[in-house]
Amino acid sequence: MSLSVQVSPLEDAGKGPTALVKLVGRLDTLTAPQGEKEIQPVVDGPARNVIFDLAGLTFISSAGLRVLLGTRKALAARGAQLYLINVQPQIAKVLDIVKALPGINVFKSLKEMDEYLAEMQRRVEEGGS
Amino acid sequence: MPLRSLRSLTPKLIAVVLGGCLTVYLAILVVSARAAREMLVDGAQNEARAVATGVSYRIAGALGVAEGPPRRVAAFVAREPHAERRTLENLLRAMIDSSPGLFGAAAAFEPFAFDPARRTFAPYCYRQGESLGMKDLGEGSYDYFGWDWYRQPRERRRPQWSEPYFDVGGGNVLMMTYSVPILRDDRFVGVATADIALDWLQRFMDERRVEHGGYAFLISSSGRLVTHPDRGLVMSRTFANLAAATGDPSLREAARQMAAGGAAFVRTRDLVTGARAFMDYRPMPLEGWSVAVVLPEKELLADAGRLERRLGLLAVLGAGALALVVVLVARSITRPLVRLAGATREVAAGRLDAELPDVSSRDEVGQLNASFREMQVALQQHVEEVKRQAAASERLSSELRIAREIQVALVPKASELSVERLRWDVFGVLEPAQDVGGDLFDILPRGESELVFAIGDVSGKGIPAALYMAVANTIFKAAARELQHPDQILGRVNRELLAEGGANMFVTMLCGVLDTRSGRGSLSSGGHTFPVLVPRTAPPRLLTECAGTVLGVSEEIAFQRIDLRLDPGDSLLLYTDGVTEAEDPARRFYGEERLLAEIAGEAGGEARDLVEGLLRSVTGFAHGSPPADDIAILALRRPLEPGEPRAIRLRSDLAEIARADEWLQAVCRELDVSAEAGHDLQLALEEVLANVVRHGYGEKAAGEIEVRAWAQGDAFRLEVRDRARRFNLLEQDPPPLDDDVDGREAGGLGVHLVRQLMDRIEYAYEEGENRLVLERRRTA
Repeated sequence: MSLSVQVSPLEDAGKGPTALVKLVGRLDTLTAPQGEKEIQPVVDGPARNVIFDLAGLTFISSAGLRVLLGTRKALAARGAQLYLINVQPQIAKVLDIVKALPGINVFKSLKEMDEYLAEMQRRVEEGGS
Repeated sequence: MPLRSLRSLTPKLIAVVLGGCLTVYLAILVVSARAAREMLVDGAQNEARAVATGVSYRIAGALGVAEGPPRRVAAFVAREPHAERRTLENLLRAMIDSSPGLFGAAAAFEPFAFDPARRTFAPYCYRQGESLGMKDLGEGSYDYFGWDWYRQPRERRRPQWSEPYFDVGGGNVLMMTYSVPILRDDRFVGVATADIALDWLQRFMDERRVEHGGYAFLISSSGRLVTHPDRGLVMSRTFANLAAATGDPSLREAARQMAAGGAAFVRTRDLVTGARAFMDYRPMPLEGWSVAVVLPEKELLADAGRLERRLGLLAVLGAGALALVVVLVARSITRPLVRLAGATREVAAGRLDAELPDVSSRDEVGQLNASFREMQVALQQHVEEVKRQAAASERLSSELRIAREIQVALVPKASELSVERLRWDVFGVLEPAQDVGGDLFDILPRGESELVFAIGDVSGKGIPAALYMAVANTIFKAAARELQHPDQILGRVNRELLAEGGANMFVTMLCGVLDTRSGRGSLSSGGHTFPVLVPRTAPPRLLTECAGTVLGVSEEIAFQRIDLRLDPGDSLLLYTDGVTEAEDPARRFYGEERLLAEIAGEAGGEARDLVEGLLRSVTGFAHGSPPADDIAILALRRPLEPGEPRAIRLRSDLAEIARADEWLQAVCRELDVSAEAGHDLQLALEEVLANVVRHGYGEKAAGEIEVRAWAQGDAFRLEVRDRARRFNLLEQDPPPLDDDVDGREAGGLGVHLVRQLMDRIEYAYEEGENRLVLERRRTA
């Protein structure tokens, strides 16, 4: 098993630059260095919202968790957000154990995330008026 | 061959042949033209020289006539100092009278030399129409002492010709005077002269017309033109002046040379017209005079030009005729080629019976045509042959396809092989050869715990073999249900095959029956390759005692039965001779030794690994060439007891985690571990191994890790043993989870995961070994 990382920019009006990163395969001790390297351009990039689509991620170990958490931290440092969508149950279980979820926004799907963001936007506007 | 290139052959030939010929011809033309010019110029030079010489002599002769009388007068006066005036005048008159060339004659004296009473005395007799006149030049104002004709002979004391001059008094005739000094006792007393009119000189010169429009002219000692076709120039201009006026350096040089008495034949310009001309000049026998002959170049070389034009015309006509010949020759070569090319295209387009041009010549074109005709015939035959073969091969390949379909349909699918109910690990493959060898295998569960299995190889190939195999298989299936022992089953198959009356076919077959609970059973062989017993902990061995006679040959055969026992983890490997008789490129057999060596490495492994490993080894041995015979391999492995530990040994290397992972997944399948539990165990094992490699041995160090797994009731236990430094996972502090995880000690997070995912963790350090046991329920 190996890991493949696909990065594609999503032009999503209203939310600012958004990047979609698809992780497919295993994010473990062996593949974490590769994953970290391939995600780095997104971390350094202009995206305000970085979405990790984990639909194809079958396995994650502590080394993989460290990549996710490191990404979240680096993004937060420049005011960007990390979102996880399509998290498989076995991955969710691991994320839950290490209590990593509170720091990361997790959604079932891209649609759910869009709805959430729209809601947040609405609240900000209402609060401002 | 494109037609265009053939057509371009003609112009190419013309260009080459004509180009060559014209070059040679042009060279000849240039050389001959130059030679002709040289000859013409040489001729002109000779002619000019002849004219000039002729003119010189003629004029010298004419002048010589005029020189006699004054000499005689001078001699007379010198001899007769007291001669009468009348005597002198008579002498003069007689001289004119007797010399038609003379115009006049005089005797002029020094003051008082002839007559002491007269200062000047110069009687002059001259022609006046038909008669002669006489006068005294010394009369009146005519003071002759300063005149050249008197002064110069007096000074030089020798006879002398004067410059030509126009006699103004005597009818405007060009004259010259010859003066002879009269010396008496070496004392100068006067001169005797004779005048000659030069009007004949011009006529004479005009008559000396040179060929090619040339002409001659004379130049006097003062450089004046004495005669010239252009009368206006005569006596009025000097050669040097005219030469300077033309601005031509060669002409000026000629003028200089002439004045110095030189002679030459030069290429220069015409004095008057300025046109290019040749000129021969040479001194006359008259002091200071020169004669020149001019030959205009244009006229002179007109002949050469005519010759050149004629040669040029000849070249053009010759070239035209040559071109015509070349075209005809080229046509005669290319026409058959063009037609042949057309025929070639037709052949290339598939019309193999295209008609070839009828070329009867025996040259290269004819040979080409003949070989093409041979090729055409050969091609037709070849195509017929290929068609025949293609039809045959199609028939064959569809037969083989059917045979293969029959064969594949009869062999149990991989999914049917697991024999779930009996929990045995069974795997088989069939790789049909190109022309289908009729291999088969089958495995049937029977009763509560029995497996009946067989592998066979039909002699022959193709559909007959496949059908024979189908029959054998059907008989086997029926017999396996009814008969207890493999020898009985083979006996039934043998008899029924003979009853079916297979046309000269037979089959080797190996049959076995095993009780899955005890691992006990028996095997019988009908001439098949020896089965291999693959014990979990000992080297594999061929069961050579399992032998017998092939089926379908004789009814009178009793099959032997040997007992067999498989312990947990042991495998039985059956195969057909497609394995052992596989050949490498050097035509060596794969053989039984290689087989044993190969599967020794797979001992204790799953049936699938055993079979696929062997198949890979065989195809690798054949270097990818397709198998000459079917390859069938079947493996049956008695699973370990759930509580019996399965083990794998790993090197201390992160890359080994992948291997451990595969092993663990296989064990989980075998021990009915749920997907979620399997995932948890997988994650835990990875974290533990990563810890041992990184923190136990340290990433660079060499070390061994042994992992064992077994079931204990409902639990799955995983034991990791290493001889690295003492390292207790349980003593690790739980990570501060609410905090930032970056920069956290690498172990912490993983250890935390292991603790959370596992139901129990035990650690012991015994005999220099870290022993970590993880336990997890087998179900979720």
